[in-house]
Amino acid sequence: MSIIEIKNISFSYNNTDLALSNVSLSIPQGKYVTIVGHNGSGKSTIAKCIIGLLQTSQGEIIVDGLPLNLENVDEIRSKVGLVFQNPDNQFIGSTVRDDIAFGLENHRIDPKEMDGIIERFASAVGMSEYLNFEPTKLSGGQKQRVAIAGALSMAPQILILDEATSMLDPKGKAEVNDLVKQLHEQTNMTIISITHDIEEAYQSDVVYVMNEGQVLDYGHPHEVLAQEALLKSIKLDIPFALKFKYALKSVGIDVPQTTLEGMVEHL
Amino acid sequence: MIIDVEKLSYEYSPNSVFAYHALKEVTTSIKEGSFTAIIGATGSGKSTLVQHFNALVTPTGGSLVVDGKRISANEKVKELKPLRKKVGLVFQFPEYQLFEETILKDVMFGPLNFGATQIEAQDIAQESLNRVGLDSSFYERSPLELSGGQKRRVAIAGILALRPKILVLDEPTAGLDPEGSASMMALFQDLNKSKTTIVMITHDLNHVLNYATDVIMLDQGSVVFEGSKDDFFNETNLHEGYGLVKPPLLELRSYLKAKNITFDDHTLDLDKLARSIKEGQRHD
Repeated sequence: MSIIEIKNISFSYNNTDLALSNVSLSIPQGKYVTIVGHNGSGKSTIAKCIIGLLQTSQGEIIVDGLPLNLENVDEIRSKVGLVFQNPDNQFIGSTVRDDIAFGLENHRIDPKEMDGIIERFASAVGMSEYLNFEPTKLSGGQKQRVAIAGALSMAPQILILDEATSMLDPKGKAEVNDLVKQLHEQTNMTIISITHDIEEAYQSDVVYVMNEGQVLDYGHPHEVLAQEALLKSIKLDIPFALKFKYALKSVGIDVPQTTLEGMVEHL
Repeated sequence: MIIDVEKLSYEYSPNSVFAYHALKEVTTSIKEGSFTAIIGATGSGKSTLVQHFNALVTPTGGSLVVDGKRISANEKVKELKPLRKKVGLVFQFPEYQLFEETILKDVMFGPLNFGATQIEAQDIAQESLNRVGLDSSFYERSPLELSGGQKRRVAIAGILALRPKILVLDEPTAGLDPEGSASMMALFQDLNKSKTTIVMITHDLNHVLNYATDVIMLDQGSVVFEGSKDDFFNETNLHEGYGLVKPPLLELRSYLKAKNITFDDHTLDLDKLARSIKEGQRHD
């Protein structure tokens, strides 16, 4: 069952070059999906089309059974949580508590219930002890975790992360990636992560590879990301596990394409 | 040694309730012509240390000597200009510091400040832009209409236009996509080959593995490691617990060790490692 069905959509920012050209993709319910591609490949444009921030020139988008149109756009937005790239641009509250409360206030949640909700989601992202902290006292990874808590407090069915870790240091990156993985395992929420990080894509359930506004390939990452020539042709990094497989192959050792740990098991 | 640091301390807001020792009697040095990575968790003192290298901040204790110029605590530094020209400092996200109308003018700003004529400055600016991979079609464009990666190239060209002997970079690839990051690193490696000493603050141990010759690691204002890259990666688990994440090659090594597979556990080269696994299998 697909929670998001995208059929033949196209989009152009300037009416001449297509940022998306006849793109179709289907996001299975409850899966962790990554969309990879270099800058300008159209991957972030897709996210903006899904929530109706950008209007496609052709094609159809169906979210949880609802076709995206003026009538349904608000309901669709309530099903989708979004986290963006820059930790500093999306922290609007003066403290962690205020920041998570922002969305709740906008949705006119009863103030009596608010504290409980804030505490629950702050704890879900491991930020309970920081509720009264100001953003300047937080690291980039912590700010992104607060952004995720804010998105989760709206009880979305789908969480979209648009390069949410690309400005973080490796520790912040690992923190956020671990949290997303854990959320996916515990709640079965559908996750769409738009990313440059090929190692993250390697751990997802389904990967879509975008280039110049089109979907080049999709499927299980161990198959899709095993195509060295494809990845090189669109200037993406080669996952380390694949590099290791080829290094072994060149000395005459064959192992199946799987995780790094899995390949070592076969030696 | 092109930079020698002797018992250098730096205290922010001394004699106040906010007093904070960012560096505590740091002694270390940087070899001429090296590609030295400075690593450590956020708040370990990395940025404060490198800001001493062109006297942007001066020590509150101890001293340092940068290519013959001594900078000591409690002593006013005279004639800073030559030092500022010699040591090019590129901050984090330098693209936020572009301000001129055109890209060419932005890069000419530095040389003009250091007394070059219009024509000289223009020549140097063109050469620097060329060096970072921006051709003449960019000269008259506004720096503000470029992509993030291109803006950063302009900012770095602005520093290269001072023809620094030492180039200090504070996380130069943060926020770039893999291709942008790789070509940026290739540029620094190239500059290093043509004798520029590179000092680079980074969180990315893959960059240390692939590009650095030497490593200085800081923790809470003190040096906890200094030495060659090979020694750094072969010293046991030094990078753990300092806010750093293991590169996958070291991850692989620990999986191999856990399975008792015979291999060369000192090489940092994946192909050599694969060959050593093969040899190990032959002996079994």
